[in-house]
Amino acid sequence: MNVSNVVMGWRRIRKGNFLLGSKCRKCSKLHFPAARLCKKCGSRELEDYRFKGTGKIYAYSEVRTASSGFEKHVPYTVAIIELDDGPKMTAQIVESGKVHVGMKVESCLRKYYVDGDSGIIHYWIKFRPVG
Amino acid sequence: MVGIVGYGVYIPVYRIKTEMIANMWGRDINSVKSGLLIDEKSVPSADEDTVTMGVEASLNALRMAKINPEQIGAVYSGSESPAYAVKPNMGIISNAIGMSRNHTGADVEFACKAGTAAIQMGMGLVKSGMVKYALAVGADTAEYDVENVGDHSTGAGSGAYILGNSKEEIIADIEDTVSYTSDVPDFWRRPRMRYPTHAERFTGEPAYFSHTIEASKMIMKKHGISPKDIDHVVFHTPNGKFAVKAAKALGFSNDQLKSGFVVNKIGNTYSAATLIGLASVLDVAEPGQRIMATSFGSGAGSDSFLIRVTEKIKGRVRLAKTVKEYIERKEYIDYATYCKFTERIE
Ligand SMILES: [Zn+2]
Repeated sequence: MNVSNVVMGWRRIRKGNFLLGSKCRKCSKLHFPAARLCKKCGSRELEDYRFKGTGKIYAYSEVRTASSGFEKHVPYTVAIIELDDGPKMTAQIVESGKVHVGMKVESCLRKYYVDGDSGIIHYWIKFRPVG
Repeated sequence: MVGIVGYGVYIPVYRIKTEMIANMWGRDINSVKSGLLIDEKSVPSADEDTVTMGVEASLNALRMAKINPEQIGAVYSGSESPAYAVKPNMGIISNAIGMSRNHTGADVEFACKAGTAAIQMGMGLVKSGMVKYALAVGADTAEYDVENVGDHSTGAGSGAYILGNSKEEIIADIEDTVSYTSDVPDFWRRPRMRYPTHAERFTGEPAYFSHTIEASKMIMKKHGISPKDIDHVVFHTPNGKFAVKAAKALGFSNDQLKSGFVVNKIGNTYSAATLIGLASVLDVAEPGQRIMATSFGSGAGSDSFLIRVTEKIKGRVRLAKTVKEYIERKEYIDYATYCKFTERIE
């Protein structure tokens, strides 16, 4: 993913800043990220759906060697979150030293990547333990 | 009628103790603590800024207000540490909280009183009927150069207030607001400078005390009331001592001050300070109680508000995290982590 690309960043805002996916009007299946074609029934009639942002940890991994731009966050946890609404997504876990499978989490908006001193600040949904 | 239909705050989870900073710079811990009345301060994580904190507080305000964000017609965001010098925090916040595109707004700056200035701007639009609801946000991650003694007090936090004009929805009626503004060079930061400068001799009497006291006196005089008619009082808190001194000078007791006094646990949150102090009062206030809240921004000015809590507040406070819950939710960090999180290590 080219994080410093302004246009790509702008296109991702709906998905990454407030978990906007889609819902099938025919069979109600929820999709994240948004789909144009329902994965269950094949319908093209989908509408915007804003996910609640709560879920639980399905799997996780601790990152100790970060790529450029993420050094300050080391060590950090990246997890697959099973959203309460259904779909799974990958995101960083914040405010938690200890993570376990099944742990309840909620979404929060955080800085994801800052493009140097003059570029765009990219925000993205991360998750933290509930409570 | 114009009043608060929902409010919310956010305080980052990280704290650094005053003694940690005092030890680092060889200062006497007791004299720093007694001089500032600050035990510890909140620290933003490396991935938090005034946008992310503004979003958190606004979402809490929405939870309490129980309104559709698409009905909010204006957003004003006050900060002296916005994410960008040019590109408003408010547009990122309004988008992230699910507002429609049919809204106005802007970012405002007035040192520590930009948050209350945002509330006044929102009140005007709501009262005139130009918008149904307005959202006012105050957020800061203020900082001083690490070796400056001012770095003991700079905290991080945000507050958000949704204003409306329906009697059925108002949980706290804003009876009135007055302001007192003059030109005092007590604290400033020039463009392109990372850290502010403050003029020792101007910080106290001609700046903080004169504006805070005059604005408070103005609103009490206008309504023919005195401190005995007010249940809770909130002042801006550049540190704890200033607010205690202002309260005493105006004739308020420590009992009237205590519910909104949180600077000792989170530091000075600048544009958010009066907003968080007021939220802390609203969290515990009873219907019918009267609150006076007076902000202060260097430069300099004070906005004073007279607020009456209504019956509608019942059952609302628990819909979002309270100030107390945010204060108690904390994790201590050491000085090196503090420097890493606040980007003092390049
Ligand atoms: Zn379908």
